[in-house]
Amino acid sequence: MRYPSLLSYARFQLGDYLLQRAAVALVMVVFVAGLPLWGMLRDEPDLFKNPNNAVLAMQLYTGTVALFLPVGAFLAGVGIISADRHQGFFRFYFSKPVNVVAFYAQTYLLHGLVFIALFGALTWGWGALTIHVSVHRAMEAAALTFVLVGGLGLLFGVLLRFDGVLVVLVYLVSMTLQQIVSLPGKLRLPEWAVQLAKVLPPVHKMDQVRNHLYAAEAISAADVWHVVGYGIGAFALGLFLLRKLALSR
Amino acid sequence: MRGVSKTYRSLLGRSVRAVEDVTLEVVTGEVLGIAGPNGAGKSTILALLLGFLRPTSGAVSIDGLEPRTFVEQNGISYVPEVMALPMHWTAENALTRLAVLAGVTGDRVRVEVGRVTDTLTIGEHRRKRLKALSKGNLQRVGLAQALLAETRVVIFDEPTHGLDPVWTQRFREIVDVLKRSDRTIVIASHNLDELERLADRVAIIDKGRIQRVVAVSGIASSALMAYRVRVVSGGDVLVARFPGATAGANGDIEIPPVDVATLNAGLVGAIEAGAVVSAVIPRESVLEQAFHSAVHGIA
Repeated sequence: MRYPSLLSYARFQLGDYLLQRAAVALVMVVFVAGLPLWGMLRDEPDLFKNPNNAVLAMQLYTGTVALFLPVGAFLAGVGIISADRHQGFFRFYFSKPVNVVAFYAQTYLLHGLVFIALFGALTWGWGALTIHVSVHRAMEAAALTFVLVGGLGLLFGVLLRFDGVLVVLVYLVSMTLQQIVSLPGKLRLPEWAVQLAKVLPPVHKMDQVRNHLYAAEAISAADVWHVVGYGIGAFALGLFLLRKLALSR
Repeated sequence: MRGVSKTYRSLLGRSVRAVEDVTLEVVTGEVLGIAGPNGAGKSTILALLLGFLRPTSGAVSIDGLEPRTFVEQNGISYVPEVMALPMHWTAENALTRLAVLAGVTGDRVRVEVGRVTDTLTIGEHRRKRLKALSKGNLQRVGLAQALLAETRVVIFDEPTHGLDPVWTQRFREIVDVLKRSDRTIVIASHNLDELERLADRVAIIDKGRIQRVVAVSGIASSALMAYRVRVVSGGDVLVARFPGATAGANGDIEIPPVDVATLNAGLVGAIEAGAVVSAVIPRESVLEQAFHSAVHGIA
């Protein structure tokens, strides 16, 4: 195993991420937030110097965050291992003296760090053009989202070909069950569904904590640890299974 | 490989035994061919050797190590049957990336990429995307990437698939250059002629089992083989020398299976009697005979 080779390869992984994954999310941000913002500032350059428009700026920001964070984390953390395996690229990569676990751990780490940095940069740019938003908290929200979505993406990617579909499915099922569980009133879930809601990824907590973070509100440390623990657990289990299971099946 | 079996199981519980009880040893310095019909288990054996698959039972080791450990420590020069790389990469980009993964560092990357590009004469295609390359050129990129770094084990899976006759010949020269006393080369192919020219031994596999291992370099002179003899004149003399021989419509003489000594004695006698022979062509090589016998049960 030659770690220096793998580190040298990071530049290619970075380029692939920026051009094929981050670019998609950034284009979405440009259309959803960039163009409306450009239109508003073109008509009225001092629009956001008026404190009364802070709500508008925050609404636009939160709308962008709601789109960019899950989509960006999804693009950064899903379809990596499954694509290499399904399309057969692994035969070329891993006939070279490369540790499979280290290769994908590096890929995920790189994707995660760049995703977080990109979101920080976007937030900083947003703040420069509109109202102040904490870059620090925005990056924490991005990290929280990537840890869970990326962890699930890695785990499912090791196990299955359709990891992206599974991540979306698990997200939707978990969110739906949690909403039903938290509903006051007579709508009761069967016991197995309640237990299932407990073991599924805490996506509802991820969304709550994230919303609190970029709104600069207090966050629950227990919720943060639940989300982070679940994501890191999925990541570690994914790497373990990557070591244990055959690349070709 | 000792007693290696590999069974593929689907999620629905269906199972297919791809390789069964394979025991095979490849020694350092040897070129081993693996021959077999489509679906015989050749690629599964190679995937087991590379550590891409784990055996259902039995053990695979390279130099005393579990294959994946060996590959991660040393690398293997491997040309898969199918060139599966992201098709938007250029040939140069693909070779550069794979050189870096192969452990080539610094300025050597450019040098090594240039070297293999020259060897495979794909310089004019360097900047083309892989999806723009012909099948043959794509296969040459596949061969080039396997030559980027020095390795002790080289594995080719249907290496001349898609190559034209010129490059099929060139491939043989490349393998000749790769042959070394400290290097092991494994070539899986259904091209028996290719294997006979390149390999020291050929393992014939069918239905997941090794049916026979043929030592190509030591073809027994006692083996009975049929020949076609091309004559300029004196064909009738030749027919008289070999019982059962017949003259074909184009004047070639078809000689029934004989051993090498009988063939030579008959040819000398015919030539002394005035026959002029221009070519002696085996109808079927020893390897082809062994293959047909092993696969189709024809003795």
